[in-house]
Amino acid sequence: MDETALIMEAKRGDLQSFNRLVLAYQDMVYNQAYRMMGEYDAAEDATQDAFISAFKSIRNFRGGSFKGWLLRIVTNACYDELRRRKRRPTTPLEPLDEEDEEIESPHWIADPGETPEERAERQELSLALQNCLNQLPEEFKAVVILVDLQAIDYTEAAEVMHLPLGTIKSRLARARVRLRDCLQGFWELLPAAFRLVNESES
Amino acid sequence: MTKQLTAQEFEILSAYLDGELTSQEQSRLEQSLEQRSEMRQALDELRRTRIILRSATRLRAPRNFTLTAEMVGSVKPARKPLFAVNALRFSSALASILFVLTIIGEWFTFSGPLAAPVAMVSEPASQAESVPPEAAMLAAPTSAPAELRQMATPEPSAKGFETTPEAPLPTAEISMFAQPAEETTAEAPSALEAPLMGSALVAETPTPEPMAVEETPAEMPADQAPNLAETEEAIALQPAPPLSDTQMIPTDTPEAMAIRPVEADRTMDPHLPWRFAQGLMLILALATAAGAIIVRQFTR
Repeated sequence: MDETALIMEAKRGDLQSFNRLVLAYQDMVYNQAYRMMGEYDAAEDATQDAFISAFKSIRNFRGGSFKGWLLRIVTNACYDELRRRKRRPTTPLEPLDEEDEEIESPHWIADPGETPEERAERQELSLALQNCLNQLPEEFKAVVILVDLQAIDYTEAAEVMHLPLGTIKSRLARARVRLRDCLQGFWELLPAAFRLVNESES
Repeated sequence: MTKQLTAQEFEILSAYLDGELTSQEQSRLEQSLEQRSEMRQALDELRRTRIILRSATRLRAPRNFTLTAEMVGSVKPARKPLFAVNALRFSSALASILFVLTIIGEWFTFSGPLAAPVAMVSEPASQAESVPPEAAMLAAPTSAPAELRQMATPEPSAKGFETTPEAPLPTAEISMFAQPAEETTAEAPSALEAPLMGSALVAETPTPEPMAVEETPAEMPADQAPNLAETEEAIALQPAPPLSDTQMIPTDTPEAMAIRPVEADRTMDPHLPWRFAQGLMLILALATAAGAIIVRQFTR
């Protein structure tokens, strides 16, 4: 059954059809939630809330990109949670090391083909990137995650965010400049990334 | 130095990396890149940043986020009852509005300013209808005035005539009525030969006359009572029609009495649809409101 048919069935209240859509999009939604929230547990909660919210409001889906519609719902769910946290700050439950970084990385990040050194670098890169993302204002963060991590184009990002194309462009540029500044201290830890840059330049 | 670049220049560099510039913008930027080293450095740093972002580990969902009926249970089953409750509420509100509208409609039809002329018209009509039997009775006194005076005097008082100078009033009317009576006598015998038509005649023939009869009491003073003697003599020559009329009197008087209830029925009739509609709307409004409450309580 294709996506449109599943959406139609889900609109009629068929949970099974909707769950097939969930399985197809849960990685994407979870990634968006994790990059927005910067925490695994919070990302899980936001993902689950987003799917529940999507099912409840699927009758309002008027066609277009279902992927974009889901990304909008999960991004809004993250906005809500982040704003709620600003009003009521709480201490994180994850164990942190001396530098306030999470000690354990989840097992599903690991790539069995990697050497221990590569894995360490990769984990460090991931942590560095996430730390830098966490420092961005929410509006910039959402756009850079959509365009660079979810790899959607400017037009679709504008639809997801309900923003003009020009705003997407400027927010993306500002986010990239801030991330560049934030990642300056990690350049030497990113040999693979450097190699890629050198290859593209050559 | 990259610090010297403006936000707009960074925006152009960022869009350039994504291939989002027009060919014109692109050629202009490439010229700047050739001339400005800080521009090239900024582009290089942004490109690396973009690569890091795009090469970031793509996480897999730690578990399935499929929904269970319990998770959405509070939503789906609630939809139908919610719809039913809303539909009942809407019906109740609609019925209430219609109920009020029927009350307003009835008020405007029967009591409002528009209704006043209707009431005015209906009253003279009823008077006109009530008078003919009287006039018919007054036709009779020509033959038996003594009896009819007794009968006629209670009649006007019963009909609420304020000016009831008992004896004079009938006489005045008689004098007026007697003259047309003479004219009708030529035709009357033929008409009266068919006694079955009596009631129809009473209803029809006197109706034009009461208009004149009614006016006369005001104009004709009670002093004209002596004229009665003359008119009596003149009309005494024609015993038959009065007799036939007197025969009709007993049939008329019950009719005259019956006319009022008939009139009352006629005035009540137009109210009936309004009352029916009001009752229906009220019952509907209450029933649907109660239904909405019951459905909501059962679904909770």
